[in-house]
Amino acid sequence: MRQLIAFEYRKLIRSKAIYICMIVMAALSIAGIFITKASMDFINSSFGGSMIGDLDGVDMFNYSGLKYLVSACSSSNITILFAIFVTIFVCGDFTEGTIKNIVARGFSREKVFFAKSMVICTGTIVFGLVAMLVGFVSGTIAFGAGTGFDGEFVLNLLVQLLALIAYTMMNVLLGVLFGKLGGALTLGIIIPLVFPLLIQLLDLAVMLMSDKPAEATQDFFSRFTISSNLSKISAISVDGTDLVFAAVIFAVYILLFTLLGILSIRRKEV
Amino acid sequence: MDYILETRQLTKKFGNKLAVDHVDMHIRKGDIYGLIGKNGAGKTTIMRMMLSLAFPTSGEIYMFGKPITGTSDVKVGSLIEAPGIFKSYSAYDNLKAFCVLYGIDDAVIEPILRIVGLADTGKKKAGQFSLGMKQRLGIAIALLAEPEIIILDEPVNGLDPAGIKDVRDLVIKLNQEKGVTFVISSHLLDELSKMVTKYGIINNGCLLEELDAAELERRGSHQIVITVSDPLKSANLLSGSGMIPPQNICIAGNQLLINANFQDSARFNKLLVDNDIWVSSLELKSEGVEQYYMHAMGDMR
Repeated sequence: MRQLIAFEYRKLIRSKAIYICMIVMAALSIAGIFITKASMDFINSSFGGSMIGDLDGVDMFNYSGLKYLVSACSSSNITILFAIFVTIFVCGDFTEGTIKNIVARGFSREKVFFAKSMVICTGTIVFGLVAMLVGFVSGTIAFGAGTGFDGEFVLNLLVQLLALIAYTMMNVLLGVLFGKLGGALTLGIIIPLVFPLLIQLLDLAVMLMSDKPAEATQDFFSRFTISSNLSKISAISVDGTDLVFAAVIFAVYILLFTLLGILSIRRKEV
Repeated sequence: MDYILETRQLTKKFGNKLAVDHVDMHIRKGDIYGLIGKNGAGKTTIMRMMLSLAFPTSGEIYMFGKPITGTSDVKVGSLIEAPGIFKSYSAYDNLKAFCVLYGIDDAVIEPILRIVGLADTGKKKAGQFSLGMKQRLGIAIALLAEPEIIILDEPVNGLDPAGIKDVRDLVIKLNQEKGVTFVISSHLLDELSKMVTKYGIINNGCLLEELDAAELERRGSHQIVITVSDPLKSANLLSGSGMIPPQNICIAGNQLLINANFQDSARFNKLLVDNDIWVSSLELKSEGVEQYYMHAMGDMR
């Protein structure tokens, strides 16, 4: 197992995809922050600082380094970039045929799955931390650091990393299931975008079928998705119950994707 | 007899198609086992199952007397279908990566690269290699960690004649010097016959026959071709002497094609010379593996 992990780490470190995705993520993040800053400045200057100034526009939206730090992982860009580098990493052995050299030497498929998962999750955590750092530094330069950094804030960030691991394990599962980059990548991008919409439709259906639509729960299903929980906790101040609920949901998804991944690789012919 | 690798009633179905049909293979330590059969006969599927890359529908595979579980620590090198290599790595880096995986010292890399003729490829990426170079790199990976058994599926695919000879010499060298057992499939039967010690002939998923190279040699037909000054007189002399039945002699131009044992050739030569017939050449031709295979396939039709 130790050899497998060392082998996978070596591949991860040499993988260009993760660095390219990281650069793209950082560029998009920095561009987004400074475009927002420029827009605010333009609006303030156009209205002589009166319109938004009166409302203390910048503070109204709570733009700050910490705000960007805590919301860095909930961007849809991140799920797309994850899909790209995780599936490239996982499918690489299948598409290049190197998996044959691994399995034929007696390494079990389960061990291969665990080694790949462990290593790519480390990559994911680094990716998430870089996203947070870029968001914080850029946000601080543009709007100031902000306030609200405490122990609960740090806990929030850790729970968000759990969400990223859940997304990663979904992409690992797709990579193992398909073995081919095209299918895994396509679904890895589409699922996080389309699945929440379908869940929202289900929520709507539940509301419409309810006897008292006005009183019906608006997030009957969507409260169980990764994306809704991640966006709910992407704020500086988060209710403790929400944080625990989100952590449980993310952990359940990680477990589910891991089990499905093991089941699919166990009988996979390579 | 103890076999290093053995299949018992090995069967593989893809949907309703029977790809491998109750195959019993027997490979001894030190064999160079040539698995021969036409495309789609089931050779690669058998090899993939031996390596746990595919799962048998039924039947068993034993390696060193133990059923394989897919997690054995037996050292098996392999090259199945296209070589599994990292295309963005150099030849050295490819071997380095697999040294890390197999837990071996990277001091073995340079000698192995020299053996397969890739020592001078430097930083060139494997993706830019020719088909033959990729094949050599695949063989190099198979050689890592001193495997006791090496399974090679069409190993000389894409190699030039010099490369084919290099691979053949390498197989024979490893077999003779280190006792490595080989299972090799190839459609270049004459090439295979230069190294193989035992054959398995497979057709439509069925193992038709297993026989040693010596046994194939013994079973194959033999022909003595004699070029003479007077073929008609020669044929009459030979058949009249009672050494060979007339129906075993065929005249083709100034040559006699005689179906007989090679040991008789000297007596034929003496008889002809003693009767003032000039013998300008005498050739011994035996049926090669290719002809034997074609006969075996013909018998199946």
